[in-house]
Formats: sequence, C-alpha cells, structure tokens
Amino acid sequence: MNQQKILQIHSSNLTHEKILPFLENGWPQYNWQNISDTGKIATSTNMSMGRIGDNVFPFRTDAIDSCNIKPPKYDSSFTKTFADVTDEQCQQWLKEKTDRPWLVFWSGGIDSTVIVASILKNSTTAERENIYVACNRASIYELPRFFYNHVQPNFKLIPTPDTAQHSLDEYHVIDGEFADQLYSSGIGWELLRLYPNSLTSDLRQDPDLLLNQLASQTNKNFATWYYELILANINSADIPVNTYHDFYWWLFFNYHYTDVYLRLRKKTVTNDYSPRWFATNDYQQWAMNNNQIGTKYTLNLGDTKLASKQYIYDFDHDEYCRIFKIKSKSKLLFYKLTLDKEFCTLDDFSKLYVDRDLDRIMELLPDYILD
Amino acid sequence: MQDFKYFTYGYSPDLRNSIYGLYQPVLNCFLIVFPDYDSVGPQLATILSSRYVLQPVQLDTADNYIHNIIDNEICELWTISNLDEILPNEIMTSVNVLLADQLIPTTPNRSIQIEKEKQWAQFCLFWLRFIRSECQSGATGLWIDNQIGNLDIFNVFEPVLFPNYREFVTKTMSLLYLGQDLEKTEQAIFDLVNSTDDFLPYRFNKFLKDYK
Repeated sequence: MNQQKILQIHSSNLTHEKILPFLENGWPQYNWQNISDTGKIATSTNMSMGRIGDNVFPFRTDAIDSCNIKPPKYDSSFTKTFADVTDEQCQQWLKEKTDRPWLVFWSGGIDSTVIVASILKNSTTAERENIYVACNRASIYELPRFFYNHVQPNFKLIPTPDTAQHSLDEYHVIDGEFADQLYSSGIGWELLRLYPNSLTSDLRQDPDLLLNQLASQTNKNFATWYYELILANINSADIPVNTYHDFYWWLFFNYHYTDVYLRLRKKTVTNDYSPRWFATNDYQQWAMNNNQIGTKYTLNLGDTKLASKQYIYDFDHDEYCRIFKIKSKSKLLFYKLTLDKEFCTLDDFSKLYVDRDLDRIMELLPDYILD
Repeated sequence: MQDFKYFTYGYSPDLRNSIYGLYQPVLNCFLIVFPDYDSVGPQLATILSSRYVLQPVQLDTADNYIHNIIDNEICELWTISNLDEILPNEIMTSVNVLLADQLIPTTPNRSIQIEKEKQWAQFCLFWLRFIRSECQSGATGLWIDNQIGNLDIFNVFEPVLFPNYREFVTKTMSLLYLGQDLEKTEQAIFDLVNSTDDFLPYRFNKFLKDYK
C-alpha cells in the first residue's frame, strides 16, 4: 500500500476546496489556479505531462517511463507517407499477430475507418476470416455507405453492446485511439472555423489571436502564462513547431498522450492484447515530420485529418466522406462525465476520489509535486 | 435552379410562418430552406446526414430578416453571425434548432458542386413531403438493421403508414439515404411508385403537378 505512487492528477480537482489550501500552503511558488485550468484547454483531461522537452509543470513524469510511451527520437530524414506507414503496419501485423483473432472497434469515424480500409486493402479473404468488426447503429449512421459497401459484406459483425459478453482476451482488440495525437483537434479547429487563415500564423511572431483563443477558454492572465510555459517546452525540444496548427498538434502529441494511455487502461474494452494501431513509432515519426499545410490539414474545415481522409478516399472513392466528414465528439462527452469525478490515477491504475480518499491523497500528493 | 423539377423557393405564402434552413459547416452556407420544419425537417437532416452534417437554423429570427432575403435560389450565399453556437462535431448528437442572430453574405467554396447538392436536398424534401402527404406517414428507420444498437434518431415518424405503402416508404428512404446519383435514384423510386399499386402513380403525378 505504501509503495503506491500517483501517476497523474485530473487537473480540474486541484482547486477543490479541501485540496487547494493544502497546495498553496505547501508550494506557494506555483499558480495552482492556472495549473488547474490547463484541463480546460485539453477539452476533458489533464495536460500536465509532456513526453518531450523540459518538464514545465511541477509534477513528476514517471508515467512516461512506466507506461512506456516515450516517443521515438525525431528523425528529419523520415520520408514515409501516411499511406506507407498504414499499409506497412497492416501487412506486418497480419504476419505477426496470428495467435488470436482480431476484433476491430469501428465507430464509423475517420480513425477506425482508416484501420478497416487498410485491412480490406492489405488482407486476403482467408485472413479476414479471423477478423471481426464491432459496431452499432451509430457507427452505420456515421458512415452508412462504407458500412453497406465494405464492412457488412467483408467481416463478421459483433454488435458493440454484445462485446461485453465476449471474453476480450480471446482477441487482439484494435481501435482508433491515438490518431488524434497525430493531428490536432479540439479548439484548434474552433479557431480555424472562426478565423480560417489563422492556423498558419507564426506561433512566435504573431501570437495575439492564439492568446485570445486561449483566453476565451479561461482568462487573459492564464492565456499568457500557458502560452509562455508551452512555448518554453516547445523551444526545449528539437522538433519543428512553428504555427498555430503546430501548437495545437503539440498539445495533443506531447501532452495528451499519457492521458489517452491511462484512460484506455481504465476502460473495460481493452486488454493486454490490444495493439495500438496509431501509437507505433512510424506513425509518431510521420506526425512529427508532416505538420505542413496540405498534408495533415488545409484551411478548409473539411480537411481535418486530411491524410487519413485521403487514405480512405483512395480506397473507397466516396467524395462525401473525403470532403465533408468531420470528427464526432461523442466519445469526449462520455469521458468527461466519467473523468470529472476522479482526482488521480495511481501506478497500479487504480483511482482516488476526493470525497472518498482524501487522507490517502494528502499522503501521496507531496511525493508527486516537484519542489 | 428554378427549372429543376422539384424546386420550391422555400418560404411559405403565409408571411406569419417561420422559415428554416439547413446549414453545412464545411461549406459555411445553407443548402436548403423550407417552412415546414416540424413535419419534415428532422427527417430531411437525417436523410442528408449520410452525406454531411447539417445544422437546422430558424432564419426569421435574424435581426435583418425580411421576406425573400433568402430562398432556395440563393441560400448558398448566406451564412449566420452566431456560428460560434454551432459545434460541427456535435451536430449528430443534437437535434436543436439554432436561432439565427443575423444573416451574413458569404462566398461558398466553388470547388464543390453546391448546385448539385442543393438539387439533391430539394429532391429528398420532395419525397419526404410526398410520403407525408400521400402515404400518411413514414418510418424512416425501419429499413436499417435494427438488430444492432438502439439509437433512435431515425424513429421520428409515427409508424402509421398505410400498410400497402410500408415497403414503398422504407425502400424509398433507403434509396434517398444511400443514393448518390439523382437520376438513378429518381428512376429507382419511379420503379417503386409504378410497382406498388395502381393508385400511387396517380397520387405522384397529382402531387408533383400541385407541388410548386
């Protein structure tokens, strides 16, 4: 029991009436309100743990190593395209992961559709005998023509509600998680919709609009504090991050990764045989090397996750998906409801709650905060 | 556009009636306007959702709204001022009608064939109205494999179809939902009209004649 450590804190609870006085007395040098507000920028989760560059938040980052989610070292000579990476990975997994069937969770969204398209492109009919697709009516509504033309005729289907009745240990469970981290998402695209040309603005030379956008989520003081902190982290990493688009990508790629990993560990739909399709070194290397306009995005709202949509289009030639498909937010809403209630995750992936576990939180918290 | 067989201007002769539009976030414009949102609006947005998300907007609440300021000839040249109230990635999970603050002129992206999409929307609206008027009601979701999931966004019609038109309606809905080519879809629906019973072709011809 005493060996337990905090891996990650859900930032919005730092200002809880029983926690904040404890933090302000013990570590008055930090702005705890601002640190708590970082969660507002992240849509639903904690943003305090960067995988690359200097640690600019006053928390330990043990989770990066213990969860083995350090990104590969940036290699500017990496030239594979998104399609290269996707096809190579599928072909490799089809050779390697043959010890149990695959269960692909298809939501009808862009990310899981890339996976299904890749499997259809790279597998034989015989190989697909061992590949199941889990989906539901919502998946069909998301992308009906893809379902009727490609999913239904080629895979055995398992209705998503019924997956709870299956022993997931029997499968390699595959889903579209970590694809958001290759691109950028959330408020970056809000900014794009309201100020279409801003995503290519220079992060360092022309930050006013970015500061306004951050302030609209919180306040002006927070925006300046946060911008300077993240910029310091960016400057300490040897990876090109130059535009507003890159800034938002960096938040997802560098600061959101741990969150997604820990969130998945808490979900019941994953298991130890859950290979992470979009979390491989090649995908991350691709993400670090392809932030230029025209590859991941354009200034058109419909071109979010452009490389993924182009991959799907090259497979099924559905112009409506290519031009109009945008990210659905339903999952985020679900996670926000569940994550808001917890204070932190421990290194055995159990959770502590303020109302239930306050003494234990006070006991473990000092070791998690850097002096 | 006026020459299109299924074209209507989109406003009611009765000026007291409200007017609604379906706004497409990627194009940043309206693809269709019509007055009878309560009877066919949610169904139309749902049918078209196989192509793109659409936000229903009540247009006559705009400060600068006057009769004829927007109709189906020119709806792609208008957007609204309160775009920040639209969350494109949440439209699928919401059925709220947004109230327009102000109508703003816009220039749509011409690389996309908006005229073609406008015609498709008008075409779908026509058939929804036809089903509503001549087959009593619809059951948009019946054709979907309801063995999986329990999402009810399609079950918006009361299931009170004339029994002999049930198959016609469900197959028509399916054609509209999954169709891409207007002429092929139209022909497939005509085939259904002609094969259902002797009265439906008559009902169709009369409905089309009175439509505009």
